[in-house]
Amino acid sequence: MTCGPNELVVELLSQVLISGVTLGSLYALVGLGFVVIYRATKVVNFAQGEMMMLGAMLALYFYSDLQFPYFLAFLLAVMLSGVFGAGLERFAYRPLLNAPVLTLILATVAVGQMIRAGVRILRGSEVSRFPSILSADPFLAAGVAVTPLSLSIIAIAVFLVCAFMLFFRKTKLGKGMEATSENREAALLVGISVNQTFSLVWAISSGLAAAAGVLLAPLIIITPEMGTIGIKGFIGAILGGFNNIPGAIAGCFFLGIIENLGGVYIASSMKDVVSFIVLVLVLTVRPQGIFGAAEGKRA
Amino acid sequence: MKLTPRKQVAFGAIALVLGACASAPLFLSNYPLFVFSLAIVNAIAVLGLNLVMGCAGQISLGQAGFAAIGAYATALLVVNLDVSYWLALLLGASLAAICGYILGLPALRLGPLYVSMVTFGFGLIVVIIVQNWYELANGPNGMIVPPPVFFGRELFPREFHVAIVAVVTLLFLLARNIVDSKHGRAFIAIRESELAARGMGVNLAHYKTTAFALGAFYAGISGGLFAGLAQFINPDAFVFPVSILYVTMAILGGISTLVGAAIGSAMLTALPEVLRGAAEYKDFLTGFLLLLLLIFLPNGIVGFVRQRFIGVLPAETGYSSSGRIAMHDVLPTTLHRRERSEKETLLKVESLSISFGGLKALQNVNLTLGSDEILSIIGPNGAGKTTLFNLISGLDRPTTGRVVLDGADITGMSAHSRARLGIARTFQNLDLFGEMSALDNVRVGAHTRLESSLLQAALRTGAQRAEEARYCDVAMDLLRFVGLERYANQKANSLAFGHQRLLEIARALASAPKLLLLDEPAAGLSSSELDFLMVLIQRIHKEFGISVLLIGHTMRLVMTLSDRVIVLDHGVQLADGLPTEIQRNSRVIEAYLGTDDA
Repeated sequence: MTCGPNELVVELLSQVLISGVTLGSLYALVGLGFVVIYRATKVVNFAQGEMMMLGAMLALYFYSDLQFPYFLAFLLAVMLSGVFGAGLERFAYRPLLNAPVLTLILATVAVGQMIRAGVRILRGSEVSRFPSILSADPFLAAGVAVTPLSLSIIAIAVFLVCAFMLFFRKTKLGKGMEATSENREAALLVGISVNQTFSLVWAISSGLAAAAGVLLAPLIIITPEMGTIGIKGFIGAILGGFNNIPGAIAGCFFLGIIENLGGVYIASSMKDVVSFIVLVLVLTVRPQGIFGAAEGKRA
Repeated sequence: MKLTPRKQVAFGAIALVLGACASAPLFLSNYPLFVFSLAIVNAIAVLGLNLVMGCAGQISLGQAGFAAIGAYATALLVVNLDVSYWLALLLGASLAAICGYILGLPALRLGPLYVSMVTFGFGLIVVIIVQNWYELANGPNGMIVPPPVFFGRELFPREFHVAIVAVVTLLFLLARNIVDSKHGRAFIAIRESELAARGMGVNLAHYKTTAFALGAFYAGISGGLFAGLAQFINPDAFVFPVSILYVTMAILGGISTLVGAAIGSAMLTALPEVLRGAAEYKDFLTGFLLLLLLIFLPNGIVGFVRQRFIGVLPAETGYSSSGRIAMHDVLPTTLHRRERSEKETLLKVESLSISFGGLKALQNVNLTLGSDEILSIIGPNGAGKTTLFNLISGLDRPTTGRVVLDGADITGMSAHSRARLGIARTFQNLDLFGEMSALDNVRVGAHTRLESSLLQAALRTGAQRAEEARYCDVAMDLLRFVGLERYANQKANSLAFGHQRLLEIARALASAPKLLLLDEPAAGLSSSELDFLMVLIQRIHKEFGISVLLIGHTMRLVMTLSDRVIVLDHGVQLADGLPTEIQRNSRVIEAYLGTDDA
C-alpha cells in the first residue's frame, strides 16, 4: 500500500488518538477512584497508583502463577484490592479522621510507599509481562489500525465507569456516599453510618484502581514502580474538574490524548513531563479545571 | 542581658552538640564519619521542610527534587565552568529557591490537594529530566564531582565535615531568626488561619511563595553539600522515596520545631546503618514509621518531650513562645491618639451589593462613618451584617458598589492592603491563631507596622531587633490593656471563651487601626464580662481615637455605646438613625418581631 505524506500524518494521528483513548479510559478508572475518595474525605490518596499496581500484581499472580482463568483472576484481584482498601481505611486512615488534611495526605503517601516496598520485598524487583489475553495485532477499522486488546480495554473501562456512575447516582448506598461527602455530621444525623460509608468509599476506589491495573497490565511492563502511572488519573481528574465527575472523566481522556501527542511530537520519555506541565498550566489559568464550575465561597 | 535558666540550658545544650559534631573527625573512622556528615546534610533539607510544612503549613512532597537541583547545579558549575565550589553551592541553592518560588505560585489559590500534587509532580519531573538528559550529566549513570576546594586546597572528608557543621550552624541560626520574627509569625499565622492572617495584613501570596523558596533553598544547599560529600551524584539519590524520607525525618523530630530536624535526620540516617542486614526493608520501614508517627506521635519527639516535661524549666510570664520578654511599661502611649476633626468622614460605603449564587446577600447598602463615631449595625440573623464586614475588610469583593476610606476608593484592594491602611477587625466565630501564644497573636496583629525585611530578620540586624522588641512591648501593653497579661505565654486556644474575644480585640488594635470592625464582640459573654467590654470599647474610642463599627445582638451594648445605628434585614438597609429613633422605628420592630432570633 502506498500512502502520500498527508495520509501518513492522518494515520499517525489516528494511532495516537486510539492509544490516547485507551490510556485515557484507564486514567478515568483510576481518576474516578481519586475523585470518590476526595469528595468523601477531602484527601488526595497518594496510594491510589499503588492500589493499581497491586491489582495488576494480584491478577498476574492468579493468572500466571496459579493458572486461574482470566476472568476469575480479574475478579479476585479487584475484590481483594477492595478488601485491602477497606482494611487500610479501618487501620490507617480512620484513626486520623479528625487530623488535619495534611496529615491524612501524608498517611496515604506512607501507605503507598509501604505497598510499593512490600511488593518489591515479596516479588523482588524483577519485571514481569502480563500474557496478552487478546491479540495485539492491529486490524483496520474505517481506515484506522486498532487492536482487539485496546478495544477491549476501552470497552471494559467505559463499562465500569458507567456502572459506577449508575451506582453512585441511583442506589441508596451511592446517595449515602454523596451525602456523607457533602456534610458528614448531617449524614450521621439522618442515619447514614459514616464509618461504613467510608469503608465502602475506600473499597470501591481501590477496586476501581485495581481494575485499571489489571486492564493496563498487558500494555506495559509490570514493576512495583508502575503505580506512578496511576497518578495520571489524578492529574486528569484535576484537569477536568474535581467537583464534577463527568468533567473529571473527560479530563482523563483529554490527558491520555495530550500525552500521546506529546510522546510523538516531543519525546516519549517526556510524556510524564508533558502531563505535569499541562497540569500546572491549566491550574494557573483555570484552578477549577476545564469543565469544573467555580466553587461559590463565603468567607 | 541576663540569661534566664531556660536560655542557659538551651545554650549549654547547643554548645555541647556543636562541639561534639565539630570534633567528630578526631575520633570517628571514615565510614561512620561519612554517615555523620550525611545526617547533617539531610538535616539541612529537613530544616527547609520544617519551614515550609511545619511553620507555613504548606505540604511539600518534592523536597528531594529541590535537593537534586542544588546538587546538579553545583556539580555542573564546578565541573563545566570551573566555578568555586562554595559559590556554586550558593548559586545552586538559589536556583532551587527560584524553582520553589515558581512552584509556590499555584499554592496561592489552590488548597493542599493541588499543592501536594504539584510538589510531588515536580520532584518526579526533575528526576525524569536528569535521567533522560544524557548530555547534561550522563543520565542514569551519574556524574563524578571533584572534592570541594577551600582556598586552593582540596578538602579531605574530615575537613569537609567541619565545613558542613559550620554551614548547618549558620543555616540553623538563620532559620531560627526568621521563625522568631514577623516573617516567621506570618508563616505560622497562615498555617493557623489564612482568613485571620489576611485580616491582619499578611500578604498570603508573598508569604506562601517565600516559604516555598526558603524551603527549596535549604534543600538546594543540602543537595550541593551532598554532591561535595559523596563526590558522585546520580538520579537515584533524589527519587520520591527520598522526599518521603525527609518528611518522615521532619515528623519524627517534630515538624514545627527546628531542633527536631537534627534529631529526626540523625536517627533516620543512622538507622539503616544499624540495621545493615535489612536494607531491602528500608523503604517499607520508613513508610510504616511515618504512618505510626502520624497516628501516635504527630508532634514528633520534641513535641512529645515538650508536652510531657513542660514546666520542668521555669517559664516567666511575659514570654512569647520565642522567649522574648516585654521589658518596658509604655502604656498608654502604645497607640497614639489620632488627631481628628468632628466632621471628617472616615468610611463611606456606596450602594454596595453582593450575591452568592442566586442569594442576594446585600442590596444597595449605604453608610458613612465619621472619624469620631461608634456606629452599630444590627439586624436579624442572616441579615448580611458579617458579609458587609467582609466587604469592608476586603475578604470578599462586592458585585457592585464602592468602599471609600479616607476619600480613597479601596473597593478593588486586597484585604492585606486594607489592613495596612488602617482597617482592623475581629471575627464573629473567633478566628485566633490557636497554636500561637496570646502574645504572639497580638504580635501578628502588629504585622503591618514592622518594616524589617526577611534578610534583616535572618541576619537579626540591630534595627530589626530593636523593632521586634518595641512591638513586643506594644503587644504586651495591649494584653495588659484588655486584662490578659497573665496569659501572655499561653496558647490562644487554651484561653477561656471570653478571654479569646478580648484577645481578638487586642490583636486587632495592634495594627494601630483607624477603623475597628467588631463582629458581635459581646456574643457569649457574661454580664460582668460585657461591662468590661463596654468600658474597653469606650476607651478604644476615646483614648485612642479609633472609629468603631460594631455588629451587635446585645441591645445594652448597642444602645449604650452607639452614636448611630444601622438596621439590616435580608440584605436590605431598613433604617439609619440615632439609637433612640431606631428603638421607635416601626419597620425595625416589625423586622425583629417577624423573626425568632430577636
